[in-house]
Parts: sequence; structure tokens; C-alpha cells
Amino acid sequence: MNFNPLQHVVLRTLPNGLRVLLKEDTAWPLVSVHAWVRAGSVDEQASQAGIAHVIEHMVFKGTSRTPAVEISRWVENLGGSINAETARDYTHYYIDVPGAGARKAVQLLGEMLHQALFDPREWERERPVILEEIKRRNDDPESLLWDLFNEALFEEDRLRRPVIGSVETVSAVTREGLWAFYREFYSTGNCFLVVTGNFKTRQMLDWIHAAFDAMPRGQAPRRKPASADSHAPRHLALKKPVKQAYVAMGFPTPPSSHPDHEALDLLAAVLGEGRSSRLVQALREKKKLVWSVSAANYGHDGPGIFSIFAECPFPKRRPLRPAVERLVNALRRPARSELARAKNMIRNAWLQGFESYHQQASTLGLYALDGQLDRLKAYLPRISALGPDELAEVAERYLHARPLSSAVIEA
Amino acid sequence: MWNNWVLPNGLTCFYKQSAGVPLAAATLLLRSGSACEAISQAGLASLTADLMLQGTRRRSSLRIAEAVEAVGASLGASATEDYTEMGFSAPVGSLARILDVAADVLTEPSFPSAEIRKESADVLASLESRKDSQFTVAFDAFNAAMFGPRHPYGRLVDGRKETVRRFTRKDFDGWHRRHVRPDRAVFSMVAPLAPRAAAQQIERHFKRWKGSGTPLHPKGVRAPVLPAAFAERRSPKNRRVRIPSRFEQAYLMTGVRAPGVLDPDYAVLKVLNTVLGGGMSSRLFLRLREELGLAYEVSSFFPTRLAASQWVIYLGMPPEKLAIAKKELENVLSAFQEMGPTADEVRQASAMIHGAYLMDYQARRRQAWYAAWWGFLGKDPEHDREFLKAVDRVTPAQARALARRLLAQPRVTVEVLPKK
Repeated sequence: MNFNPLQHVVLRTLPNGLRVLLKEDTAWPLVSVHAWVRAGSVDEQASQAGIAHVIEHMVFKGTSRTPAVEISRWVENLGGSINAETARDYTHYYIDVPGAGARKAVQLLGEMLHQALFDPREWERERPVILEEIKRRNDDPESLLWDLFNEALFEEDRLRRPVIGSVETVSAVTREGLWAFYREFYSTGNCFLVVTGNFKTRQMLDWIHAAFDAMPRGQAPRRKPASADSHAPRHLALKKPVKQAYVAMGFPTPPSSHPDHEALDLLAAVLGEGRSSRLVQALREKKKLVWSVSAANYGHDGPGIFSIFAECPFPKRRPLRPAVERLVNALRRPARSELARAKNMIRNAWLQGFESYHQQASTLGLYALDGQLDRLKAYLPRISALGPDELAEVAERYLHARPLSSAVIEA
Repeated sequence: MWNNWVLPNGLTCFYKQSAGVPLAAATLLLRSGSACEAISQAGLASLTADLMLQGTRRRSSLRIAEAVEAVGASLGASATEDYTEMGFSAPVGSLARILDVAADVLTEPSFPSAEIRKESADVLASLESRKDSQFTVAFDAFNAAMFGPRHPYGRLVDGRKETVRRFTRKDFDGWHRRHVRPDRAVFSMVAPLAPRAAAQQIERHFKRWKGSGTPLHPKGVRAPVLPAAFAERRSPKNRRVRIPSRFEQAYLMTGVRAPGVLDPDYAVLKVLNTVLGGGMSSRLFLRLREELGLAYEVSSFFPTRLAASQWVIYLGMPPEKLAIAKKELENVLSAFQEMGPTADEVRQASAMIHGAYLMDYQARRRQAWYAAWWGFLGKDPEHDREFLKAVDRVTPAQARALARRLLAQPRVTVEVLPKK
């Protein structure tokens, strides 16, 4: 079966410049409305680190039409859910709601994206909540590991620092600062709206038009390209009173728009996805160095990350790195059976990812925001067409060209 | 539309044809959770579930993994207090292969010594690494205080170090022989296949699984019989546990006993919990986080369980805010106990439960799981509809009465605090 993720997709640009992607489907009486803003931690100055995430919190704190308490209450009253996430490259808002609430969900997201109040009293109330969110990461070894891993991988400060910012920078955020960031990044040219589910396309376009017509027009602010310039491999360790070692190893990769990313996805699957993968067989089953190990490839607008994560007893963390390096260096031309396994695993995970409206909208939005919908359509055919020679070249280019960097949380 | 039938060996089967992506998903639930263990067997159900995938008479651990992953499928098994679960997701064109592996794992696990050593070591490590999560530290202590060490819900499904170290192949063989049987199981599958073709495949692969022929719920017997261990009941009294820890932030968990899934009040509890701490417009979230900014994490939940469960509220906050957070939490709980939820809150909670259910139900693996779960409880695979109607019927008076009764009970409270 040829699966086309863009089947029934309608793309429009409203007169005010807002780009919209709609995918109508009547299987379930639900609608998933997602707004993507090209504003993440990579767009912040060092002194304002965390402000994109603060904005994400504050747009829930009331708009010129809807008081703070009414935003979540209205969504939940209809049986829906509302949430958001801030990442390095974007901020993502969504409302999942039964079909009867579709119009209001669009209206609400429209208000949040261009009519947020940033009431100073609300910011005073929300600041301690965000500071607590930051401090809680100190009690979570996996969050600490991710932050330390980014520090090990990258040279540029805006790639190395945590998306959430620090207690110092978030404490210093002012209402004026919030407003300026919101005005700069929350404009029609810098956002993408995605709606999937049970609605009528023509009617939905009318609702979107009404909800977003007053949004400030504007072009996407130019994002300074981030650099993955190579540096000597860094190995960072952080002492925490943990009960086992949490380890990350890997390499910077090119931006997600680069044509090598599908091959990197496949290499990650060969190396560390599933119990029959190379890393699991060698490190867990045979050498008994780790409790768990996996590999993944993350694409970003800027430099991406090819990663290997493991949890192991403390004494095993030292032999682990050379063992991983040997396995990565041996990753050249995968056997035909390994390649077929990796392709099938990616394909099935991909198909499962299109079972719900929410997941569809998330995937479509991520690709749409970076102008890569054609890439999305070609993803599975491209995975299917990749052969061992091409994988060997890509492995040579990114995984063998330099030693890996690492981060460890240990006692 | 679900089809249901019983195989000659007693396996209860549910099947639903579903158009769309070419994937099949299935869940098998076995009445063999940790509640069936003796105290000295703590961890046996869970480790047996792990080890069933680590070798059969026909396949090694690696060959099982290769057979499944070669076609991009996934197959997993685990145990809870109430049941053991096996589930798979597979391309529909490879369904026969996955059913063959699943049947192999269920009927002929070989429990190789090397795998026992490896998986036991893994469990011992995971028992230790639980201490790296503040929520888990609090919840483990909460359960122990609430139910006591002799009750299945008071101990860890993974067992204790001393029991896990002692298990031998004989223990796993014995557990498998006694508990992993088709007459103790419900199998449910969703796939884009005609019902007849699907039933033929299920029957062909599972017919070699030997059983008594009597299904889990024979006609006329509609409710599961609870294992004897549930008769163990701690005397109800207030218990307070303070845990000095290496964590920098404070964590507060408090709760009371609550109805299990078979209790007529279960639907009322679902509504009550949604109002109190089940969303961003819940009472706890609005008061403690939104109005007072006391905590980032504020929520409540109840584990869905066969026997009497618990209703748990938790907050994560800076240590210096613990005292005020406790006071404000008590204010919210007192008001809730006194007045219960309003009619609007009950109506909103019902809508939220409907919506959350619909969103969850879109994935095939979840459809298969829900059907198996209802079957496990002796209900029809489409019992969701009845359950959602029961949620709709909950009145504010019922909700208030249950809030009063539950919150008047003795309370268990756990505080996890940074060491001074």
C-alpha cells in the first residue's frame, strides 16, 4: 500500500499571509487544531534565555476577549484538551476537541496568538511556577542529561543552553520584554495553522479567516543560521546522587532540510531500535554493559543530533564509550536483513503515527513550518529506496568523520 | 462492530474489523497479576512475563526479537497487580508470523538459565533506579503505607531484591503452568481483515494452547473472583510518612481508599477525580497553581484496579512552600468534602471523560486494549458505551455523597523532602 500523508490535504495562504493546512477526515467526531510559531530558544538573546517558553505559559493567562480561567475551562467543558510545548526551533499550541467545539477552538487559538494580554499581575503569579519548573529539572536525571548532552555537542551558546532558560534569566523577564518578543515573532508570516479531523474545509477556512484576520501581518524574522562547526569532542560529566549512570553519546548532524536525514534515521534504527538491533545485542545481551540502550536521529531547523542513550551501572560507564565507538565505526554497509528490518520498523511507527488526528497534525505541522511538505510525502519512498552504499557514505560523513561527544550523569 | 467467541481451549476472543492503515493490533490479558503471588513470590508474575519473550523451545531470545522486528512489528509482555498483559502491533500482511510467535511464547517458553540471570539482574537494577524519580519514591511509600506489605497493592509488582534473587527456572515453569492458560485469558484484536479470515488465523495459532475449555467468564458468571490476597486489609488510620531525600524540591502525596472498577461508585469516582485534579480547570490546579502559584505539578488520580483502590493527590513545590501548600490543599479538600462538585462541574467532568476516551480510542492498540479489559471484567467488548452512560448519569448529589464518604476516611500522607 502506498501511504500518502498528504492525501486530502488542503493548503491555503490567507490574504493576511497566514499559512493554513487542513486535512478533513470523518472517521472520528473530533478535531485537532494546532498553531505552530517559528519562535524557540534559538531565537533568544542569551540574556533573555527562556522567554519563548515564558510566552507559551503567558498566552494561557488571558486574552483581550477571554479571561485566563475561561481558556482551559472552555476547552475542558466541551470535553477537549489544550496544551503547548516550546522547543529549540518553535512553539507549538494545540486544542483537541469534539467536532462541535471546532469553531471556538480556532477562535481561542487565534486570540492566544495575537490578543494575549500579558497582564503584569498574571506574570507575577506565573513566574514562581516557571521557576519551580526549572528547579524540578535538577531532580530529574533525564532532563539533566539532555541539557548536558547539548552542551557537549555544540559550540554556539544558543544551541547549548536549556530551552527553559535559567532561574536568573527568567527572573529578569519583564512584561515589556514579553510584549516585544511576542510582537516580533507572533505574526502571520511566522506561523502555521494546521487542522485535522471532522469538519468542512470551506467552513473551517471561514472560521480561521475570522479568528486570525486581525493578526499582525509580518514576515518571518530572519533566523541567524546556527552553526554545527566541529570542535574537539567534548565529554562532560555531572555528579548527582543517582542510583545508576545516565549516558548520552552522539554527533551533530546537518539541519533537517538536508537530504541525508532519512539515511540517518535508518542508521539509527539499524544501530539502536529494537531488541535485535546492534547496540542492544552487543551491549545489553552479550557484554552486559547496560540496562538499556537506544539510538535516535533528531532533525532541527539548525544542526540536528544523532544520539545514543544508555543507562548502566556506574562501573560500566567507562568501558561503555569505547564499546559504542567500536559499534558506530563498524556501522558501514548494513546487511540486507538489517536494512529491511530497520525500514519496516520505521514504516510501521510512521503508520501508527497517523492513526490519530492529533499525531497527524503534529507531524504535518512540523514539516509545514519548515516548508518541507514535499519531503514528508517522499519520506517513506525515500526510506524504501535507500541502499547499503548510500548508508555507508552517510555514516562516513557524520559518524566516522570524528569521535563522538558524550554526557554522563553519575554519582 | 465486535465479534466475540470462545475457542475450544477456553480462550475468549474479540475481533473488530477496521479500515485504514494496514496494521493489526492485539492485547491479551491473563488473570495472573502480582495479586496472585504469595508474599515469598513477590515479582514472579512480572519476571515470568519478561522471560516468556526470552526463549521458547523453538526460538532463542534473539530469534524471537528478529522474527518480530524483521517485519517491523512489536511484541511486549508485562504484569500489573491485577493481570499480565501481552500485546502486539504488526503489519497485517505479517499477522500469521506474529500470531505464531505470540502462541509460541505463550505455550512453550523455555526460561533459559542465562536469560533468567540477565533479566533478574535487570529487575534488581530497576528496583534501585526507582529511587531516581521523586514521584516514584513518594508513590511507593504511599502504597506501602496505605495497603501494608501483605496486600498486593502495597508492594511492588517488580518484587523485592530478596525474592527476585531466589527465583529459579522451576518457579517460572510453575507460574507459567498454573497461570498462563487460555481459560484465564481474553484476547482482542483489531485489523483491516474480514472477521472470518481473522478468526481463522487466531484459531489456527492459538488452538495448540492447552486449556480446560471453560472460559474466564463462563455464561452466568459475570464478575471476576478476586484473589484471596485482597482480603488482607490494614486497619484504617491516618498515617504520615516523611522521607528525607537527595531531591532539591519537595513533594507531597496524600490520599484515601477509593472504589475499584467493579464498584458501582467507580463512575462517580471518575467524575469526582476529574473535578478535583483531573485537568487545567480542576479545583486543585486553579487554586494551587493558577491563583497561588504554589506548585508546578498539581494533580490527582486513581489507579483503576479490580479491588478497592486509592485516590491520590500530589504536588511538587519548593521546600519553603510546603507548609502553605499543605494548608491551602486542606482548604480545597475541606470545601470539596463539605459541598462536593457543582452541577456544572459534574457536567464538565462528564464531557472531559467522553472526550478523553474518544481521543484515546483512535489508535488501534488502544481499541484492542479496551475490549480486552472489558472482557477481562466479564463485560462485552463494547462496554465502553455502557460505562460512558454511567458517567453521564452521575448526579451532583451522588458525587457529593461519595466525596463526603471518601474524604472522611483516614488519610495517608507522604512528604519527600530535601535532607537538611
